[in-house]
Amino acid sequence: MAGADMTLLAIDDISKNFGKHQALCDISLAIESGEFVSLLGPSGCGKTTLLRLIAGFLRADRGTISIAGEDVTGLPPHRRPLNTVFQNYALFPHLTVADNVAYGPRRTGAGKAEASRRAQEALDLVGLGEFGDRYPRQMSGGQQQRVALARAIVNRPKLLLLDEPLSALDLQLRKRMQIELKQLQEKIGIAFVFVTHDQEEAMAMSDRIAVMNAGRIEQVGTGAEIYRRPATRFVAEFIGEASLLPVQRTGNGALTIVPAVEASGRSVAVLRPEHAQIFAGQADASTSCNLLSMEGHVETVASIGGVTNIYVRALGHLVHARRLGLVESGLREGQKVVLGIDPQNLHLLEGPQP
Amino acid sequence: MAIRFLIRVLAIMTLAYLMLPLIVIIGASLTTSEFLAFPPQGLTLRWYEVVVLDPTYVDSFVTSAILAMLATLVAVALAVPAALAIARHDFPGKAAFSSLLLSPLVLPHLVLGAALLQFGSSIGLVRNFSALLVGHVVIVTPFVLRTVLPLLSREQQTLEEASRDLGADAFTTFFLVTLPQIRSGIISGAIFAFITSFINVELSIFNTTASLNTIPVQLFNYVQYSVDPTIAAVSAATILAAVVAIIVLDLTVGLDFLSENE
Ligand SMILES: Nc1ncnc2c1ncn2[C@@H]1O[C@H](COP(=O)(O)OP(=O)(O)OP(=O)(O)O)[C@@H](O)[C@H]1O
Ligand SMILES: [Mg+2]
Repeated sequence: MAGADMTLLAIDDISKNFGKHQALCDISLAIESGEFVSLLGPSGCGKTTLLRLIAGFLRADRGTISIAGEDVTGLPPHRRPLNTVFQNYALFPHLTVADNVAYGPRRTGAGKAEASRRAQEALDLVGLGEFGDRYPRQMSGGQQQRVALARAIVNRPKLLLLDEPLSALDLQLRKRMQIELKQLQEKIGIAFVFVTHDQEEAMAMSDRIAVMNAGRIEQVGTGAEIYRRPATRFVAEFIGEASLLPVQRTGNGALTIVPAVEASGRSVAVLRPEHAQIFAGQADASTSCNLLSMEGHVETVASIGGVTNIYVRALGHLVHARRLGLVESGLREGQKVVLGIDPQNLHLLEGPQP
Repeated sequence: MAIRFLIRVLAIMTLAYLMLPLIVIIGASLTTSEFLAFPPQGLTLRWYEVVVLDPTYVDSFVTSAILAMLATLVAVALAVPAALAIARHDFPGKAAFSSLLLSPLVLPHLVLGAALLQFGSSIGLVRNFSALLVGHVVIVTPFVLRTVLPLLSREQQTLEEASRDLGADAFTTFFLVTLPQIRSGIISGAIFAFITSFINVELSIFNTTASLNTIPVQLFNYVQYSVDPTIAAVSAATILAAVVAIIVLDLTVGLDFLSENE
């Protein structure tokens, strides 16, 4: 593996239709060895379809998939050098946990003794060394999840596909498994393609995130990149929270915010709620001269736990601002305020936006 | 508490209702009288002796057993691939195909028998064992199909995918994953199929002859002319055979899945 090409999985221009419905359209994605990549997107955007194409359960209408330099587009699933953790685990109910995990080695040529030794090793790795004799139905959801993981890594694939593997677990266990999974991934050095529609999960675990929408990849990047510099309006709205403000440049190149009634066809600036400052009067706002300011009034103030969300109506836009801690004493609904925005904190989506 | 007791009483009454005819038949088969009598007048195995010494009974019994066994085997061999095709693939005419396979469940067997006779005579397939077998396969295949099809669920398909993913080819996957999953359906379907074939009169009657007869047709013909304890003896022997078959099945493959609590 030394040197040149570290690309492990190369997806080139894949399209897939189900009848008239276009499930995937011109998907291209390259994943490196040992990388943790999440596929993130709303329900029905094609995440599972893409995973099933990589695994070989579906055939693409167009495009190619190669793994470690080998074109696998035409290969059946059992000949592809990868393994899958299924959403509902798909453990064989008629086999013991040990036999479930030994199934992979047995099919790929290991003898009985060798297979059960490797199964034991994999079970130890996920902390279930003592549970080999049980049947899957005698295990809790979290334990079944680990068995599925052990079964998928026992053959030491270079690539592991995981379809919402944690979605069936409760919140506590889910958080713990996120950490464990990430640690395991780093320890064994397998590249993960991890499907989720939970953006926090994707942010917490991934090296890179591919944001999908309606059968297309909208953006690929690190969590910070897609949060700070969303490539499209969809990404801006889907990742985190944002106010999208139509803008125009004045003669000297400075940005101004356009009122809602003149919004159509403008470039759009993405404003994250933590970057919207609120001042009680014009005087306070003008103290820092380089802030963009807008007059408006408070529409809603909502405290949840440690943060307060404030929605301000200004120039016809509803702007979302966020403060840590409880709401400042003076801020009431209906109150006139001035919004201050540092232009450096605005991310511009150039060109007319829909 | 009271409700539990009531349920228990009800269960016993239902069982009694189901068992009583069997007891009457077995009892009547032991009577010393020349006519059917229950309670039996005296005890004798004489009527069994009559049956065993009469080659027509023994032959029909053997014919029925072989026929039911072969029909069941062929039905399983046809129904399992058919169920897989219906559950796993979309093809034109799928709905028509599955209702065609299930239709013998709702068609009167007499109608089916007449139709098969018509068709069979045009290709020379009449009044022989093959003709009987073909007819029985047609009526028993739906039983296996009906019990196997619901087991080929979406979750079950994911298991097959998991197997493929772990390096097993389609063939290995069928034997190591699919078959164990649908085993209970095959067995319960096969039991229904066997019994249905074994007791069938309406269909068999078209293709039986004096020398090729099934036991139910033989009984049917016999009771039209005389009613004596031999028919009770034949019936009792049939019941006994069924009981033995169930016990053997339970000991070999286990029938515990037929009751709900595992
Ligand atoms: N076998 C199929 N036949 C027809 N349409 C399908 C099939 N599988 C998926 N689709 C459609 O393709 C689209 C993408 O489905 P997919 O399962 O990939 O979504 P997803 O992103 O995994 O969604 P979720 O987050 O809900 O799991 C959906 O609109 C779905 O209805
Ligand atoms: Mg999905």
